[in-house]
Amino acid sequence: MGGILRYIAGRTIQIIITYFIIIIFVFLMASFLPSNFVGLLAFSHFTPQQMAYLKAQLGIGLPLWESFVVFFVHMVTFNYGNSFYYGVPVMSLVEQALPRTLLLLGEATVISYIIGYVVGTFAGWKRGGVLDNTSIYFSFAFYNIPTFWLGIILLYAFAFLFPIFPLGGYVTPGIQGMLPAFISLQYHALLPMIVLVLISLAGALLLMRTSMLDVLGEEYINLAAAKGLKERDVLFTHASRNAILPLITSFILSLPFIVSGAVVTETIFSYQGIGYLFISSIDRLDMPVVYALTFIIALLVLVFNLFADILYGVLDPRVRY
Amino acid sequence: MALLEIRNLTIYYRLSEGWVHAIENVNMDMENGERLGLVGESGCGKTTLAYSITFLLPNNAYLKKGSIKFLGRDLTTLAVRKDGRINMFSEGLRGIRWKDISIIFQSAMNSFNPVITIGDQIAEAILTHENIGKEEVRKRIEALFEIVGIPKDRIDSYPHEYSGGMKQRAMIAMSIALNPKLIIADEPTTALDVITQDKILAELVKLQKEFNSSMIIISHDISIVAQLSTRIAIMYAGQIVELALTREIFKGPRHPYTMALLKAFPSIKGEKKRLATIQGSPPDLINPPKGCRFSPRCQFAKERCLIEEPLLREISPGHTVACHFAEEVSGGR
Repeated sequence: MGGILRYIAGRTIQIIITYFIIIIFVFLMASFLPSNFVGLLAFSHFTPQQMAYLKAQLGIGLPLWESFVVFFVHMVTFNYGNSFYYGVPVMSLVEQALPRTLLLLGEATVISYIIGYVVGTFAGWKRGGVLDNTSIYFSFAFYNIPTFWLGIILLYAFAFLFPIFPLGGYVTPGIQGMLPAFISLQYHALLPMIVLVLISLAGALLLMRTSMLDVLGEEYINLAAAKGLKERDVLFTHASRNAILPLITSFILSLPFIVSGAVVTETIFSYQGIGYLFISSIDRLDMPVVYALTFIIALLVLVFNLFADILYGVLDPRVRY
Repeated sequence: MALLEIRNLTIYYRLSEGWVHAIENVNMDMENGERLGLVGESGCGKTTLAYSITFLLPNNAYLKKGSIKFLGRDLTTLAVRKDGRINMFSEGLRGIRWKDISIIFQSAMNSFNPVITIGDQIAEAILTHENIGKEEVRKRIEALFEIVGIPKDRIDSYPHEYSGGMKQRAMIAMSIALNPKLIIADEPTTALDVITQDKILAELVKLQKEFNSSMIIISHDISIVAQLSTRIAIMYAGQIVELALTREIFKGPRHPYTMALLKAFPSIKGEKKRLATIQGSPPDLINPPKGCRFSPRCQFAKERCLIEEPLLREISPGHTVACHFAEEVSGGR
């Protein structure tokens, strides 16, 4: 038990150091952008108050070193300030967009992992069978189709030719009540979700299948069969139980990206989630929003990496900290 | 009634390159209480032959002909599909597996499921065949651990928490858990040091006698087989080439391959001499040589050997050889 606590403490320090390094890199990259704030300031018609705000919040107009200190302190204290474009606190923009993205990406991720687990298990078990061949063929086909192309085709087919789904947006305007709003959100998220499931299915499915093939080569599968176990028991208690471990790790590592959103898909479907906010903020050089999203996502990736490592130890008794 | 009767057993593996003639026309009998050694080079089909008794074969294995009778019951009717493909998970075989025929797997190191405790894995074997309560299973496992000499408090440990020797003992404990009639020991001590190996082999034979089980010992190491078995079957390229009592195999081998094999292994007694090697390499089993399969490597081979396949024949009571010139060749140690 002491082992795991020491492990978590050590890893937390690592996370903090990595986070600091990310902040430094992002700051440097932003200062070398061809269209940075200096460019903005050159044509500025800012009032003195606005200038004071920019100086205090973003360190703009200060020497590089001082400007970095201001920036660093704000980023570490999660003080992201106001959006240049909307003029409202960045966090309120994130709060608006986040539930939409969580719904879309969360469902898409969970569904593709469930399908990947089930199909991958049986495809690996009967290698070379009909299910194995067709599932590999289809998942690879979708994996290699560009997201924007698949998105546009589906949008054209099912929102324009056959208007089953809405053309865009995240909710029908003017809808009242929690439940109708939720249903409307779900309805708007469905088509982009199908796109995300189709293009990301191959990852989970092939991982599960490969992992099954590895496990099926192990002697303990033969031992289980030699003991006279039913095929179903060999498959589930021995084969897929062990083969799922890499899939679980991969699932946990994909969780941060549920928050980061899907830039391309959200843009095509005009679904105003985090990905949409991210890309439009970059377009508008709305740096406070870009910073906030970059650092929130980076931190989540780091934390979930640790979380995956800890969970792996719980699932596999061979892992010791 | 014989415990095991194998008649004309022929098993091929299907590969994209063609059919691998893994087992061809093998005949073999076993009596109760017997310990039979299966010896041969890697890839000679000894493992396929032993595992075919419970049809624990990959799904590209096909039964071409022959029968395997266990206690008078033909097992091929249970596990073979119409096209000859073997169904490893046939329902009919489940009752026989482990209850009647258990297997000590090659390299016990990797034979246990790494994420399930040893105790649970043994319990699984017992509960598959017997409808008894948890406490009784626990008592049985404790008794088994005492027999093979593992402390009882290690029942709930995971395989990686065991040493190599302990895993091998646990494997043996599991193999005798249901008091089977036949135990197949596949290279039972390959990964162990010589001293541990010796101790475990001695215990294995003691247990086999105590439980009056029969045993098939598969090994490429003829010294291990010599130490353990009452009879020895020498296999070459998917066929049994010589089958006799252990003593006879060592004193008067009649097949050129057996002779070469014995020369390739050092003796403690007698003068020191350079070990002989067998020229050439084992044949390609997709296109096995015509006539005698050993003929391309045999120093005694004559024209007849290249054309006519020698059948296994009895040259003295209980001593069978598959060689046209078994009476003439000599060159044992």
